[in-house]
Amino acid sequence: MHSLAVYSIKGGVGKTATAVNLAYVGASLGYRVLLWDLDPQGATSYYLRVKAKVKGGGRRMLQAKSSLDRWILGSDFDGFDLLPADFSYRHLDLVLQESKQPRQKLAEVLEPLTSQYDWLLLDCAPSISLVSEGVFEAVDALLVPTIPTTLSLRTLEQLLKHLKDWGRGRPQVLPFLSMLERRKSLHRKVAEAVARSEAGFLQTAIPFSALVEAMGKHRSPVAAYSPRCGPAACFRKLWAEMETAVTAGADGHALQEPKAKVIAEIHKALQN
Amino acid sequence: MNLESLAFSPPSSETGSIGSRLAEALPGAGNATGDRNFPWAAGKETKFAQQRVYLDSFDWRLWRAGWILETVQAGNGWQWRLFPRPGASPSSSNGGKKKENPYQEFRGRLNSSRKQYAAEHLPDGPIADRIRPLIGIRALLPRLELDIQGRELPLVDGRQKTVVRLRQQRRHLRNPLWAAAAEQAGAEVTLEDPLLLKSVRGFEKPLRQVAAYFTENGWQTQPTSTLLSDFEALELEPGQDPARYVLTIDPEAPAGQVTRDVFLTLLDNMESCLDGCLAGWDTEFLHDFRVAIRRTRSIQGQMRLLFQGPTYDRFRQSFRWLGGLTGPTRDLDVLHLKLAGYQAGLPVAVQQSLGDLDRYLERHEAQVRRKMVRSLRTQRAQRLLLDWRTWLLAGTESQQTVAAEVPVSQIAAARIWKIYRRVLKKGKALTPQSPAEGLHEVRLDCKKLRYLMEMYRGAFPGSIRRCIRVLKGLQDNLGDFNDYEVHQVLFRAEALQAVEKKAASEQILLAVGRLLEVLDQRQQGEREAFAGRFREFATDDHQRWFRDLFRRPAKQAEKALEAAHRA
Ligand SMILES: Nc1ncnc2c1ncn2[C@@H]1O[C@H](COP(=O)(O)OP(=O)(O)OP(=O)(O)O)[C@@H](O)[C@H]1O
Ligand SMILES: [Mg+2]
Repeated sequence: MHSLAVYSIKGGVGKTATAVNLAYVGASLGYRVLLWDLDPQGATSYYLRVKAKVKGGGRRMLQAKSSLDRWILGSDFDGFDLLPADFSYRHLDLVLQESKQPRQKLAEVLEPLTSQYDWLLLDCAPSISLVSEGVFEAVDALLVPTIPTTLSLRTLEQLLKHLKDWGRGRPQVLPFLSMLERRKSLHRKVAEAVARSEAGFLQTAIPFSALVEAMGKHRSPVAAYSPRCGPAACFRKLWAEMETAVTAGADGHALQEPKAKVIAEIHKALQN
Repeated sequence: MNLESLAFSPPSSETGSIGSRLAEALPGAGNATGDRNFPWAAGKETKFAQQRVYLDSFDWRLWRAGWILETVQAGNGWQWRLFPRPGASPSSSNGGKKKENPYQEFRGRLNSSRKQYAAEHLPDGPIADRIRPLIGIRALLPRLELDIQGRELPLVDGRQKTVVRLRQQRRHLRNPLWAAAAEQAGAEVTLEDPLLLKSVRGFEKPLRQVAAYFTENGWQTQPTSTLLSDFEALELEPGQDPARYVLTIDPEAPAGQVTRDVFLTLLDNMESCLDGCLAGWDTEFLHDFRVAIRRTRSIQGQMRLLFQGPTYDRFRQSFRWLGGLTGPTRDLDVLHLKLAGYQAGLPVAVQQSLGDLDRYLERHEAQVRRKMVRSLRTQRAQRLLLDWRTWLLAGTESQQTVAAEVPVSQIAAARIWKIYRRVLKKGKALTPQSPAEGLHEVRLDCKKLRYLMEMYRGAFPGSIRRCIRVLKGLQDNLGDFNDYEVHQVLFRAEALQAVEKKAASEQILLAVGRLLEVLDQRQQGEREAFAGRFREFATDDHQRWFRDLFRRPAKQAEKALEAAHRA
C-alpha cells in the first residue's frame, strides 16, 4: 500500500478538494483506495454523504486494540472507501499525547489496512500538531496544494524547514499549484518561477474553477458530475504524476524534491 | 453468508432496465415510501462495460504456484492485478524479506496491453518481482478473456447515500488460444448472470434486508460465478500441465491397447503445443513438441513387437522426418539460451565479441524458424498427425501381433528389464580410456529406458519412482556430456557461417575458440564423473530395486509369448 497525505500548514488551499477528487481518480483506475478524513470539520465526509457511525470515534479508533476496519464506510463509488471524521477529532492531539509513542501511533493503527488497499489518502487539517507529526511518520509522501502567492510559498518553505531534520521515514514532499488563476499576474509569475525543475513542483496545476466549488452542491467528486471538464482532467493528470513519483520513491528513485533554500529564493525574487 | 455479493434470479426473466424489472416483480420496492420493509429509493441507473484478461503460461505456472494474474481495463488504460488463487497460499512472496499478510493483492498500472508477455516485457515492481522467477522462459498468454456488459442500479437511503448496488450483467467468455485455432468449437460462451446484489462496505445490514425482502417475495438465491466456474464453462482445466500428464493404466490390460493410449497421449501433447510452435509464443512449445515426438519414436521402436504390417513402419519413418524438421530451430534456441550462461566465466573482451555471435544466432534462428513453420504447415505434416490418430483409434486387429494381447505390465517389464541389463553390462565395461562412442551408446539406452519407465509408469507400483530417480542421476551426467559435445560442434559451425556471411569479423573465431575450450573442459569433467555416477546407479541396493519390480513380470512375458507362438 502506498500512502499519501494531502497536507498544508495553511487552510483553505484545496486540500479536501484534492483528496476527494484524487481518491475518485485512483478508484476509477481500478485501485482500492481508502480516504481518511482527519479533519474534525469533516468536509470530506460531507462531500461523500457519509456520517461517522459512532460519535466520539476519534478516541476509540486510536485506543481500541482491534483495527480501524469497523469504522470504514464505502463511498458511492466502486473501490473508494472512507474513514469518516467526526467532531471529536478536535481532541486527537490529546489522545495521541496519552499514547506511549505519539508519533508512531497513526502508522501503527494503519498497519493492518496495508493489505486491503492499494492507496491510502489522508485529508489533514491545516496546522502543525501532534497529529500532523504522526501523519508525517505514517505516510510515504505529502501532497502539498500551494496557491500561487508569495504567502503560500512562505508556508511551503516553513514546512520544508520543519521536515529538514526529520531523519529516517521522512515523507517525500510533492507540492503542486492549486486554485491557479492565470488572469492574475502574481499567479502567473509564481507559476513561471516554480516551473523550474529545482523547485520540485509537480507539473500539473489545478485551476481555480466554479466546477470545483460546486462539489459542495453536488456532494460528489467533480468527475462524477462533470467527467469531461477541465478540472477533472487535471485531477487525472495530477494522479498520474503523483503515482509515478510515489512508486519511484518506493523503489528508491525519488524525483527531484523541493528545497527550502530554492523556495526562499523564488519567494524573495518575487517580492522585489 | 457471503456479504460481498449475492445473486438472485427474479421469477420473471424479462430483460430491460433493472428498475423496471424491480418494479414489475416487487411493486413496493424502489419507492421509498411504498413499503416499510424496503425503505430505499432507486438511484440513477447506469450502464457499464469492462474487459478482463486472465494470463498464465501454457503450463499454468502461476496457477500452480497459487497466483491469479489478470489485466483489467480501467480508465483509459489497463491495470494488472496479482492475487492468491482462492484456496491457495502462494509460496513465493518477496524472497522472505519481510513478513507478509497471508492475503496479498497487488495492483499496478500497465502502460501497454500486449497479446503475450515474456518476463522482460513486464514492468518492474512488486508484481514482476513475484512472477518473473515463476515463469522463467515461458511467456504469459491470455487464457481467458472476459467481456462484461451490464447495468447498475444503486439503492439510496434518505440522505441519497448508496447503500446497496444491484447489478445485471452479461458476460462473454472466450478462450483466446482456442479461438485462434478457428475450427475449435466451445472457445466462446455467453452467460447471462443472475441479478447481483453488491454490498457497500459498512452497509451490510441493508444488504441483508434487501436479500431477505427478495427471498420473501419468491426470488431464488443463486450461486455467484467464480473464476473456476468460468474456466469450467470453457472446458478449461487450469493447472493441468499437458506435458506432465501420467496415464492411468490397468496392469492387466492388453499391451497393444495400452500402447495405443500411450501414443494418443503423446499425440495430444504434440497437438496442444503446435499452435505455440507455429506462433513462436515461447521456446518451450517447440521443446515440448519435440519431446513428445522423441518419446513417440522411442516407444514405437521399443514396442515394435506388438504391431505388424508396412503402415506402422511408414509411421515410424514419418515421425523421424517430423523430428528432423524441428531440429535446427531447437538447436539454435538452445545455443541462444545457453550462450549467456557459458559466457559468464570468460574474459570481458571475449564476451563482447561473442555478442556478435549472439545477434547472428538470433537472426539465423528466425530464418530457420520460418522454414520450419512452412514445413509444419504442409499437407504432409498436418496429415501425419491426423492419420496417426485415425490409425491409433481404429485399433485394427490384423495389424497387431499376438504379443499385443499379453498384459501390459509384462510386456513393458520385459522391455525395461532387457534395456536395463544392457545399460549395466555396457556401463560396467567402460573405462576412462574407452572411446566416446561407448558412452553415447549407454546414453541412448538410458533414454529408451527412461521413456519406457515414464510412459508405462502407471502399470507398476509406486516404487518405480525411485528407479526413475536413480536413472535420472546417471542421465544428467550423460546428457551434459553429450550437450557439451553437440554445442561445440554447433557453435563452431555457426561462428564460421557468421564470418562467411560477414555478420561477424574473424575476431569472433578466436572468441569462439575460447568458448570451445571451456566446453571441452567441461565435457572432460563429465567424462571423468561418469565412473562415479555409474557406480551410484549400479549399487547392489539400486539393482535390487529394478530386479524386484521388473524381473518376474519380464519372465512371465517370455513364457506368455512362447506359449502364444506355439499355439
Ligand atoms: N480549484 C478550485 N477552484 C475553485 N474553488 C476551489 C478549488 N478548490 C477548492 N475550492 C474551494 O475552496 C474552498 C476551500 O477548499 P478546500 O476545502 O478543498 O480546502 P482545504 O485546504 O481543505 O481547507 P481547510 O484547510 O479548511 O481544510 C472550498 O469552498 C472549495 O470549494
Ligand atoms: Mg479541508
